Amino acid sequence: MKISVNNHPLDADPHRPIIEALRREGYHIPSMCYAEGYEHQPSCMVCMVKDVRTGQMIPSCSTLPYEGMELETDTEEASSMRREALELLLSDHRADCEAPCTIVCPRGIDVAQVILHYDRGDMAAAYTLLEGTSCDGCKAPCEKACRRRTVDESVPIRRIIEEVRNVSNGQTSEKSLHSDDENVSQASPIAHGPLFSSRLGRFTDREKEMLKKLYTQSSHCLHCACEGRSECRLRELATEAGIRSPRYGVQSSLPVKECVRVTERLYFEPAKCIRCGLCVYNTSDGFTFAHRGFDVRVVVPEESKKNVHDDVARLCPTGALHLRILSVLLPLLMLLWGCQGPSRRMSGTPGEDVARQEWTSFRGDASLSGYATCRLPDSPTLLWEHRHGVRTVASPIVSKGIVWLCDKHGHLVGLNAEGMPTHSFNLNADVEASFVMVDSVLYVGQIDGQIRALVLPECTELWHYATEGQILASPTFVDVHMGEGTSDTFLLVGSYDNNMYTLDARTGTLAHSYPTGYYINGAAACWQGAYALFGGCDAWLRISDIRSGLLTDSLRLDAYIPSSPVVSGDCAYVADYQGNVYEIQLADDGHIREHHKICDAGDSEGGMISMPTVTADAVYLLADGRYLVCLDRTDGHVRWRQMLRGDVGESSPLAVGDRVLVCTKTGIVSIYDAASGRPVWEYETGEQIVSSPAVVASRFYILTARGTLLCFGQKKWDTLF
Amino acid sequence: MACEHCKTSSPDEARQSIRKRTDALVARVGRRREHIIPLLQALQGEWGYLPSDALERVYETTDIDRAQAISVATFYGQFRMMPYGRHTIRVCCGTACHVKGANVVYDAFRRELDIADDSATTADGAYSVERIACLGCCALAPVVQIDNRIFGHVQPGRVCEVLKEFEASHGEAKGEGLSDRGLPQGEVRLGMENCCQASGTAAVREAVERACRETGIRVSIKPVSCVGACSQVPLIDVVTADGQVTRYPNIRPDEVKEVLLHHFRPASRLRRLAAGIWGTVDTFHTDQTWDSILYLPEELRTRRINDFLEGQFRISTEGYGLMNPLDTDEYVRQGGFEALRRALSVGRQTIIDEVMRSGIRGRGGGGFPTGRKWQLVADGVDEEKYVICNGDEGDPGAFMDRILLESYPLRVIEGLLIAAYATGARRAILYIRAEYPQAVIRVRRALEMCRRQGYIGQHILGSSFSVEVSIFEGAGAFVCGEETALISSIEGRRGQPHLRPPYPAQQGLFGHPTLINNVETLSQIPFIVREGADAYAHVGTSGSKGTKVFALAGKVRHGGLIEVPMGTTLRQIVEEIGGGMENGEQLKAVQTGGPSGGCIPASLCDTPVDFDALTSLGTIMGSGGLVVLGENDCMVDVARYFVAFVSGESCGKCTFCRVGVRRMLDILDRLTSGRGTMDDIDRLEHLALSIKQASLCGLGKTAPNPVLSTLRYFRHEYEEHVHGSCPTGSCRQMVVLAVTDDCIGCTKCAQCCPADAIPFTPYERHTIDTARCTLCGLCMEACDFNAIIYENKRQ
Repeated sequence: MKISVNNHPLDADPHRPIIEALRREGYHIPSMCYAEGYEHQPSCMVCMVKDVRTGQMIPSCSTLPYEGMELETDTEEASSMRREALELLLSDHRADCEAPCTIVCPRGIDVAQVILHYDRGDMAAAYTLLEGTSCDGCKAPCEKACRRRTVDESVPIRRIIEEVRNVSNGQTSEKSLHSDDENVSQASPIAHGPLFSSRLGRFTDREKEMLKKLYTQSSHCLHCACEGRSECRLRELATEAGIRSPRYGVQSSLPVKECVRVTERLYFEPAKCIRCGLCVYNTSDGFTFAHRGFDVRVVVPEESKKNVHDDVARLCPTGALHLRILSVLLPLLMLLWGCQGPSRRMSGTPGEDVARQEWTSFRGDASLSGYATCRLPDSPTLLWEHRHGVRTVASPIVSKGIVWLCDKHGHLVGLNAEGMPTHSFNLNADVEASFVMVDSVLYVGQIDGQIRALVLPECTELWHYATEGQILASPTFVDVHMGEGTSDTFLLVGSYDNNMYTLDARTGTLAHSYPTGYYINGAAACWQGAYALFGGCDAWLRISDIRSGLLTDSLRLDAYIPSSPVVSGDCAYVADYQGNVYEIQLADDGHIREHHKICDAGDSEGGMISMPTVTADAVYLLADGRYLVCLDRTDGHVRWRQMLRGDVGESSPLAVGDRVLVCTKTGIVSIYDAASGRPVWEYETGEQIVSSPAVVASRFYILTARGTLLCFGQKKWDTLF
Repeated sequence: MACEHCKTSSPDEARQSIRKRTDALVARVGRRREHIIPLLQALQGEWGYLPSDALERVYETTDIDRAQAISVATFYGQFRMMPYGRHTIRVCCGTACHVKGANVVYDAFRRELDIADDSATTADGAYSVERIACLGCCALAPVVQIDNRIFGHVQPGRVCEVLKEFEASHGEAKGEGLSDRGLPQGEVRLGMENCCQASGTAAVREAVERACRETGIRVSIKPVSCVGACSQVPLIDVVTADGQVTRYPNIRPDEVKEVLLHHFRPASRLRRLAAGIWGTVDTFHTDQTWDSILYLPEELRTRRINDFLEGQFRISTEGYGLMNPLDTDEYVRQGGFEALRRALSVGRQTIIDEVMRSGIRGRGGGGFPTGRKWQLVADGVDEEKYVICNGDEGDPGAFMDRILLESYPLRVIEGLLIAAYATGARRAILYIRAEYPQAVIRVRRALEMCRRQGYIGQHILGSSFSVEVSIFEGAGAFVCGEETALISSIEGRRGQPHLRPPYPAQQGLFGHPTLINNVETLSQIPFIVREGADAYAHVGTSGSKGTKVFALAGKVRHGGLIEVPMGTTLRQIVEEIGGGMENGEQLKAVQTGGPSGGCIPASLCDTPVDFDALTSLGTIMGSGGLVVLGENDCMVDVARYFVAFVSGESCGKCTFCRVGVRRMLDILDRLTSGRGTMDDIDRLEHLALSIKQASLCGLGKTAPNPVLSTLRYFRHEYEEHVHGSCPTGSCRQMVVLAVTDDCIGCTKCAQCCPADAIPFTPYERHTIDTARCTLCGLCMEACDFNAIIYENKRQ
């Protein structure tokens, strides 16, 4: 079929879009939403040419030729229309091509890449990038330009580079230093090069909050630089069109810096997407469009991720879809999973997260204090209940919106916010101990003495460690400073083989174990992220240094210790089986400075198998069989004392904001005002309760021994579903 | 909560029940991918939203997968993923409602029901409030729909009253109960369209029934097709046994009994006596009796409506106020289905030639010659062909298609059948907008009757022609009025338009040749076939033949549905038919063609209306919405309104429409909030021209028209906005309410202010705390001295 292009005749296949013929003839027609041989729909409109006969601008990627067609491709009109399309696309593209730190570096270091390698633990690669360039005498404009600075504070770039240098010094021979700064800066292609560089712009306050939560690895780096920048056609075409900054500014409705892991290696960043649809049209039941108009976005439902192949990344004209090299470090892998950073669980101070969404261990954190600053609903109502029907002793936990319970036979169930079971696994072993979940890894101790780490959502085993006796207490997950700004994660767990084990949480290898004189029935509390406090049936309370495993101090109590010690500030509290409660003041080096009884078993009627609960100024105890007692921490006097309905048991109270939540063994859940002791709310479950409640923002969960999980919260239309 | 079941049983049982009910719906609707929209509609009908468990079940048991469900459910405005309140309040934001303050009404509902900022539903789950593009009751603006009941003229001050009225009626919409009894003593005819019912005809109908019961008068109540005179309703025609018709516009329910007694004799002597006595007593002891409509002279009573009806020419709306919309026998008596018979006897090509010769052009907006379209489809060699009636009338400010479907369903069906016959299609589909439930019900019943009487089905009227007709309910997307998007939506996909060619006539629904005609186009076909092409071509101008149905609304005194010959001038329409401007305002402009059209300034209103004349003025005929704008309407605000509408309704496929329209909106937002610059105006114009030229489909190509036409005729208003003043006070971010010296300190405004912005200071000139003021305008309504006015912020 004969057509004419810019007044030159051209032979075109009548069944193929004209772009093919044009490109074959050497006409330069840019395009983004078109990939030869793949399913596509015209959307980007950067391949516009003019049909002279109709006077219309037409997308050449989808228009079929007709006899006598006359096209113009190189007129001012056509190129300005393409440029307009590009500028409109750029105005909805909220991303950095290059990281600001790299752009401003006067010595031409690809700072962003160095930090990326550093975060992935690849010090050698990071070191090579430095090429021996020194930072001496530099005023560090990188730290001033750092995007993180607009969120909270700059990434410590100089310190990181120093560290990279020090760690790799022994392995790589250092090249001679460049002394002439001018030469280096000219060598940097980015700083003064002609490439277009898109800018992220300012963050809103909400985005800042979100970014703080999302990017919490040790460098704090937001990783602004686009991983797909070298192959980004948007950048290439913008550069070609000579665009410096988009005429319409940048205003996007897409969430900035959000990144979805699609497959093992494939990542999707919606804010960089131009909605061309190539990934949508070329996967079946994978990527799909959602919403319409300006708000249209590409999404991939969780369950459809399995239908996506890594190849689709090649089709993406921007850096929105890109493949990442597998990281060597597991923690980082966990971090990228669902883009949620590890929340640092340091012991010592009570949980500070007001809007807490996570309750990852039976007491909420490693201090075991049982104090949470969030608020209980004003008038809680039962939102839903799930009847599991099997005896369950372990306390429920909440992680990533899923509440987990594990019955005595090791059947692990995850329920979503509506109370619908979404996960179900069988551990094939009896479980009575509560469990811990950190960054999608579940740590659980079993009756058969095994401690296992399982990676969700598939529940594949990461490691296991066998002890010689049954495990009845929850493991404690701690993040310990190892000096020089590094930290390591450990799991502390006591067994009926009389040992307290300290395991490397990542690998499950034994760091050290401490033999005690008898069974260990409770969990270890962590103080200052460095010391572990644990009691046992030999009536000794011990304090050990987690790093070295050495005992720093110990204290013999009047009777054996059935539960766990708790820590708040510089004080620890522990109860013995007779009902004595001790307050122990700790010194910085892990020694006991002073100790005394704040509650004497002499005037009580029964033992105490639950844990004290400690807030900044008060201690709450379940004492004398059926009383909730509030003691003043400053002088030890009883502030108030309330008789509970029903007998107390193992379930320990929780102090939540200005309320105290307590479950009796008889099955009554009640809330008391912390200041006055006035009962505020009560609910009768009709079933025995031995586990501790789990509290997240605006909701709390109670699990009965018969396996009924009750979710309480504020009845509200939008949170209900 | 939508599902009572969930409250009482455990989550597991509730889930089982949801799955079971889903299975039943799937079995009823179908399991193929193209069934997704009807299926989702069925699920939403069952639960009020789309429960995730039901969707999971759908994935398990049908061909529909997750990706498809998400893309479709989020595309169409009808679907909700969250449960709504027990009752849904839909505030119409169509053009006519917008210029009459729909936003203030929306705010008033939210305030009255105390709905939290981030929610659409009241705390107790009783009501949800949402904005809706257009309910198609423009003559009653501002309009609100609560569940299925329409309320007209809802001023912000009436919000409370409307809610009470709704609650008093227990939220039940009255059934229609069409009666088709003969003529015992006489007949009372009244319009029972959705909008007529809302403006009081329902109450009048009840009054007639009550009066008949009390007096024993036996009259049949006949629901008839729309007269179109929306300002004259409730309107009844009383027909006595001798066939004499007396027309009573604007009748009150309490006048009904007297009118009936005037025309008919009560059943028994006793009742006659009682009626006589009570009538006489009434005459003396109330003064109301003397204002009764009965005592108005004929001339006074019906002059307005006669003015309105004069100058109109009826083709599509033939038989207005006379015919029962759902009586096939009556339709046949009036010449119905004669055209179909003729078509079947003369053959396909003759009919196509006839339509071609008549010069009729598509009424949907584009104005493509209908005959040529038919020929293209008829020439297709495919065995399988489709004819689709496009009733997805989404333009805010237009309601012609709704009235045609509700009042003249049989005529539309006849046109559709003729089209199917002429093109050789065996399947015909009526695509009707989701927001028109009444139209769907009527058309469905009309189809059933036609099927029973052999007009639809196998061997129609004894010929070899067979056709199946079905209804497809749209799901709330304006873009589906575009024919390729409409096809996508029937195929069960997102309503995204495709590049043409290939045209639907060559490759349409499921890849087969498909004819898509607008409702109004099809309703003109029977006339052409019955009376001949010449009779039709005789009406109208040289380039545009026949008549055009317009929805006349806005600041005109008598709005409604009108049908005029092509070539009538806008001034004739506004002044003669519409009775001039409302409240003595000056005509400023007429907006035609909805969001795809533009504003014609008063100075050009003498141009005869036809396709080509309007295009040359920078607007389009569109589907036929005419919104009259007065001197108090801000043209920048009107342009912003349409651009905001298109921005929300764009399918989001091509860059120019998705991002470009949004950038136009950004600029207009700046202008209407007083932050604009002169550069912005130039940038806006440049961008508008680019979008017009480079967008993929008709929606995008015409989206800049409201901006371009207002820039062309009212550029000075844009410039005034840059200089910081909105002379009409429409741009709320640029004005404040202020109290003038006329204030006498009566405290009425302070009492009605919902935001406590006016301190209670009797006998002193009131003041308005602008920081608190929400500009709801209730105080302006309350003030008897017009002492509260809009003032520009910068002055």
